[in-house]
Amino acid sequence: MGFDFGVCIQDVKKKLILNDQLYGFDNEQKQLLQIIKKTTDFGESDSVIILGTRGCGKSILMESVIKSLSPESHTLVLLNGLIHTDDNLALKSIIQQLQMENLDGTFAQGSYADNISFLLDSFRTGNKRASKSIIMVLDKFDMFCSHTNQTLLYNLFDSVQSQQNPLCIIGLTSRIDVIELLEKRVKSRFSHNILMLKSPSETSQLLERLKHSLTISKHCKVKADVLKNWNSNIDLLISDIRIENLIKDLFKLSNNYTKLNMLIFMALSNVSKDKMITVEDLTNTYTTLFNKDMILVNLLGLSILEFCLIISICHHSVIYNQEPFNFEMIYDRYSKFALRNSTSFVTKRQVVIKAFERISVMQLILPVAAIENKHILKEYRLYKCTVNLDKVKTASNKYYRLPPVILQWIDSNII
Amino acid sequence: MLSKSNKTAIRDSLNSDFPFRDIQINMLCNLFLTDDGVLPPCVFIHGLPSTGKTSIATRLLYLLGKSVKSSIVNSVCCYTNQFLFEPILKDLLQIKQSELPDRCDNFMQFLNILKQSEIQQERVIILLDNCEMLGHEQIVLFTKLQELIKSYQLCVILISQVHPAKFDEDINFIPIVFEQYNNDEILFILSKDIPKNWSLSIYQNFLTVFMGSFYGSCRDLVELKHLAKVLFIKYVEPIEDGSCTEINQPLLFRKISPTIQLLLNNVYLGTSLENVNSLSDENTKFDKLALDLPYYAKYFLIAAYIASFNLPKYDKQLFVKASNKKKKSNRLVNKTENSTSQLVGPKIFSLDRLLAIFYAIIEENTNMTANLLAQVNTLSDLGLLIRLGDGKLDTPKYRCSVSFDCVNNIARTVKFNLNKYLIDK
Repeated sequence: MGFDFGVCIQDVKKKLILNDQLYGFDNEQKQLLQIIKKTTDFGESDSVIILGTRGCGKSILMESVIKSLSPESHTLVLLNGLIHTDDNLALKSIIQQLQMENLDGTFAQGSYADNISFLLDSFRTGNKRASKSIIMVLDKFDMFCSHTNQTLLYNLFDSVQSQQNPLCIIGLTSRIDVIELLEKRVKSRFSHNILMLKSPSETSQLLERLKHSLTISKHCKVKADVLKNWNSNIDLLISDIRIENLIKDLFKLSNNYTKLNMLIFMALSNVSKDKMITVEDLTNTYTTLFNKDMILVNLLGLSILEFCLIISICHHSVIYNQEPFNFEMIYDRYSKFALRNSTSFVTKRQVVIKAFERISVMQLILPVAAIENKHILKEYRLYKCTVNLDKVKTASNKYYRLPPVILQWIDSNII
Repeated sequence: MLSKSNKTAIRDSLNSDFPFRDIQINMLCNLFLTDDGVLPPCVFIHGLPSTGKTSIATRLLYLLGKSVKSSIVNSVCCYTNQFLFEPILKDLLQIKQSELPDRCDNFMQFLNILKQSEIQQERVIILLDNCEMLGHEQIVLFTKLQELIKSYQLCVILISQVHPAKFDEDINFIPIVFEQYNNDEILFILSKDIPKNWSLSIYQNFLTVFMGSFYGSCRDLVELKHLAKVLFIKYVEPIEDGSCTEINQPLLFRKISPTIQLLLNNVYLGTSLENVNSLSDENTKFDKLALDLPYYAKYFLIAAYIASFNLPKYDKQLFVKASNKKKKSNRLVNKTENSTSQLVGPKIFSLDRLLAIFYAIIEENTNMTANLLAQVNTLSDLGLLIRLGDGKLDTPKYRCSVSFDCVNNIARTVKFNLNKYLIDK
């Protein structure tokens, strides 16, 4: 062969990470463009919410539309509900992004009331024709709804309603009930433009996307024969029945593209640069990424003592119908078993406490309601179990050299 | 950028230092030792304690050296945002604490500083150890850091003992699982640090004995290494003083087995060579547990324990002197039942009940004075009683927070038979 595919791999990986190409959603793109154009061209303020599940392409849609506008026509303000966790931070960020602190240096450091009146005054002084329009994007829109009194949202939507500086608000969210989260006064000021983005509903779409991601475009700086070789290989790969089955499995797991992207990225990382990516690469990566039962791995790594405790816990949960338990109950159950069977299982209480603590550090058991537990000795602290007996049974069958007594104990299930 | 020979050197060095981790090392190297410089957004390293997660990741970063900017943060220390962000910024921007522009206590500032410093041009790896200590939102933000900064050369490595299913669907990461070493692997790793002056055959004989007894209750490599070190010194003592030859395996085992039993009862409890001997001493233990309290305070503590573990309805039977005969038989019936109150833990009691029981069990006549009541407060200040509620309007309520062994020992010092007064015991 002798082709050097290093550049190709790099190109595909970069494409996956930057993730800036929009697939589908032509109608939505047009609609959004129309709304934004109204603001940038005619100075009419508006608001819109883009709804869609995680990873379906909300941000990419928004970015691609804004990219198509000329940069002089607007000022962009990007806010993210995860980053701007309260109104004050969001407001400071708006002022920073509008580069308004240069107007009067004291304001960005000022109090919240100062800042908001400053911002609103600035909006008010603007008018439909002369002022530059502002596009404000609120990512994780639902998180802004939890801010106190929704002051920021109210003020922003209010200035959209009154004819002031042209302002277009784009909210991105994955919560379908987002409108219900808004207060009445905020809701009435919202334009009720909602764009719904649908996740792929068929495996063929995912397959198409896989092909799209792996194919190298002509703009890439590689030799023509390498490019041709790579792309024809990808075509062969996609038509393989095993890949189709793989994508079908993946689709059962999740219907957005993030998992697919991760799969391709990992598979490409494992390929050395003088080789072509093969079906085996993809299927192997799929098994390592998604087919591993992490809880089982955890259980198999426990020592016999810890494993016995887990069994006691599961028995307790089954008998008492998932009631919470404390260390004493589990220790009692365990020592009954140990005394009945063999002296080799009898362990000092202090060691069992340590083993119990280790299980709780791994969060195989979780403490119940922290307030109740505050004033209680650690032996009596209440916990809940997160693994079920079936899982423990499967683990016990795979456990290396588990004493047969324990195996019988799991199934016996007597008090 | 690293040359090819450099890369194989890193890979080999990791593989020789950390045996049986080839799959994990291979994955990590494939992701981080690439020519193209594109890094994944987030890698999640998961595994049980002491399976080499942190060691391998930090060693890899150390070997990568100057070719990447890296920051290693243990999330346990980051109880405020400031302590999380500032160390990362210091490492990445390579500046001192005093040179940081402002105090950085929210993600917005953190992001702004990173963006201003044009970190996008460089390869950056941020390693967050024990990431389960971080808040859910912080983890989400760190997994999206690459997207937010718009750089394909930034990677966040999360390390945790908690399995990733605990975290949200929203978090996208490439999982790398560190599996527990099995018996043979641990044996091999332990046999690598053989003490000086001793032959391999002796050490291996020792290890078979050692693993046979400890493997059941502990698979933690760090703890096993420590225990092996302590035990080996005891193991070779008979050989050193000439009382036994190294071929005489059964005798050696007989001599070591008391120490094994002792250590087995103290796994994970930080045993060192000095206190191995003191552990066996029952007297010191008794002294430690029988707290040196004033006479009345001892009685108060006993009364508190009785009040905590007996239901109020039995008080009459136990302490009223008239109904002697009936009480005895009742108690015997109860004794055979399952002792539930011991399992559920101490119950709350009021000060009145505590005083009543106190006067019932103390033999001499004592006046209720302020000094006497102050003892109760002393006990709760010492943490032996837990005071609940503010206790100003109502009579205060208490709960006993001492174990049975401790109270029993205290009772023995004042010659008081505690068991007689416990319904469930």
